[in-house]
Amino acid sequence: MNVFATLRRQISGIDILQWCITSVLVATFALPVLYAFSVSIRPSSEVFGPVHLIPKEPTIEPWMQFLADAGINFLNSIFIATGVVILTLLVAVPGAYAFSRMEFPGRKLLFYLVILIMLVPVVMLVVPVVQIWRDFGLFNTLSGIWLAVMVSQMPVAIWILRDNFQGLPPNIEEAAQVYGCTQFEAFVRVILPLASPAILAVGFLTFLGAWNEFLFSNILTRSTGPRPVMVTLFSLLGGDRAVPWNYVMAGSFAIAVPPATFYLLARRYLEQALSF
Amino acid sequence: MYLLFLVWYPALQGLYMSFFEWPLLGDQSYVGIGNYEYLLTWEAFRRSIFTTVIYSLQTVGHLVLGTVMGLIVWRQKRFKTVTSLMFLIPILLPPLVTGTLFRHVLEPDLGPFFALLVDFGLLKSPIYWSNDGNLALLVITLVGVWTWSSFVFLLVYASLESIPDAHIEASRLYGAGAVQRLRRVILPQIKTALLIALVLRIIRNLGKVAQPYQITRGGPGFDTTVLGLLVYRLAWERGELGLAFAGSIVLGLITFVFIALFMWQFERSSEEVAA
Repeated sequence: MNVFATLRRQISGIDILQWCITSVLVATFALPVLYAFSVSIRPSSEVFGPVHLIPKEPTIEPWMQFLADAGINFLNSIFIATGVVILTLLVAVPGAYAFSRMEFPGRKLLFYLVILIMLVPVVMLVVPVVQIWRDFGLFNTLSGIWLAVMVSQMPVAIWILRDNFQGLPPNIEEAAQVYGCTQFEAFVRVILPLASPAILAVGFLTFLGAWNEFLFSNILTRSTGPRPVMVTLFSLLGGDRAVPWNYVMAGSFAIAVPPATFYLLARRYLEQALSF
Repeated sequence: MYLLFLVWYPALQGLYMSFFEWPLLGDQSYVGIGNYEYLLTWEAFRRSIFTTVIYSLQTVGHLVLGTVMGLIVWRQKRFKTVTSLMFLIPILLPPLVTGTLFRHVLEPDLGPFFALLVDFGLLKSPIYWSNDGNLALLVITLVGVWTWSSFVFLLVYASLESIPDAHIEASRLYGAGAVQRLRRVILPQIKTALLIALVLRIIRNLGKVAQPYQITRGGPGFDTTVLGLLVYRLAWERGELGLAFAGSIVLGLITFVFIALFMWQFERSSEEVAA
């Protein structure tokens, strides 16, 4: 008797409701992904027919085949994403530092112009970029994609880094200069180490963005050029032919592995850098 | 400086181009506001305005679902990490991948979703949504809700965690019920986060391309071609750069209203931080 009363007091109606909602939501998020993953490790014969979650004859054949077909595109994706990270950091770190510490006319206006870029839909830039890139011979080249993708990643990077630089006490560089550093040395030796978690977070974010980028890389490359794996996945579903779903799903998950791992690894840094 | 040039130069160049008939390769000719006139009378363009409005309504879903998810994890005493990881699944995957995934899961003949519904006797036959413009629009919108609610969840959860426990305790002491506590104590605290999430989501949802493109390719016809996608299809499939940019100016104008809202909110919240 007593036990039941305590139990009832502990589990209120709202708790039960909460558990119901939670299970429904978790199922909604996890089931499609689980099912798709299970499709990706089936032989072609098992893709059709009655619905079942656990494959009867699991095989890694679709994965191997996708990796064999699209290996070169994977390499492209890695080159693109790494290049974009390096370029973005090269511009964003000094840029953000300038925005946070130096006085120059129009500083606020310029910063808003940068933030605005983040909000403008990327599609708007696609059209003119295609034209300009053609004029400058950047079309279908690795550096062309770097530049285009970099533009869309830069504002967030500058924003996060500026907030971080501003959070550092203003007199530490002065202190370093008193001890005989030049302003540049103070920046490299004092500020950079202090800001390294934020820089790391920005690096991760940029990598994710560049890896997931599709619009520019699709329109700026031909199949002979540096085509990233995201575009490969897109073109698999073109046309009206029957789609080899186990193969496509294996490809999808293969593509999703790097960003998902990166996100999980960087989660702690990201939460620090993004809390506002 | 260099960066600003890189972004604003294309934008201006595009504005200039929108007054021309500009094929991908070859000579351009001046057509004045012809591109805009053509767009306004073009059936597909009107449809895509409608589509964009409906598609943007998913923002409501994002906010409601995201807040519920945030509250759930916040209230949970155990398994917090597991639940929040589960809730983050959709944004861990690239949008193009989730698009591909749902195209299979929701496929009328082969996918598991309709097969299960038919097995349980809820439906007599699968719904061939990809042939019906409105149903296809519903599908891409719902998949959108599935995907980006997690983003709102992240923001809301972070700001819930920053509510001091003392506030909650105090409200309990004064005898506030759960509903009252939600309305009077919790919601005011996460208001800023919700507003930022709202505006950011609207802006992002207006310019979505990759995911709906992968699910429906904008079809049947132009029925699920949201504005961003219209611009992209004009440029990529037809090579009509001038026309495409005229379209993106329209998209830009709509977005700008929301950007102004965001700026206003952003200013206010950064003043609060400073104060």
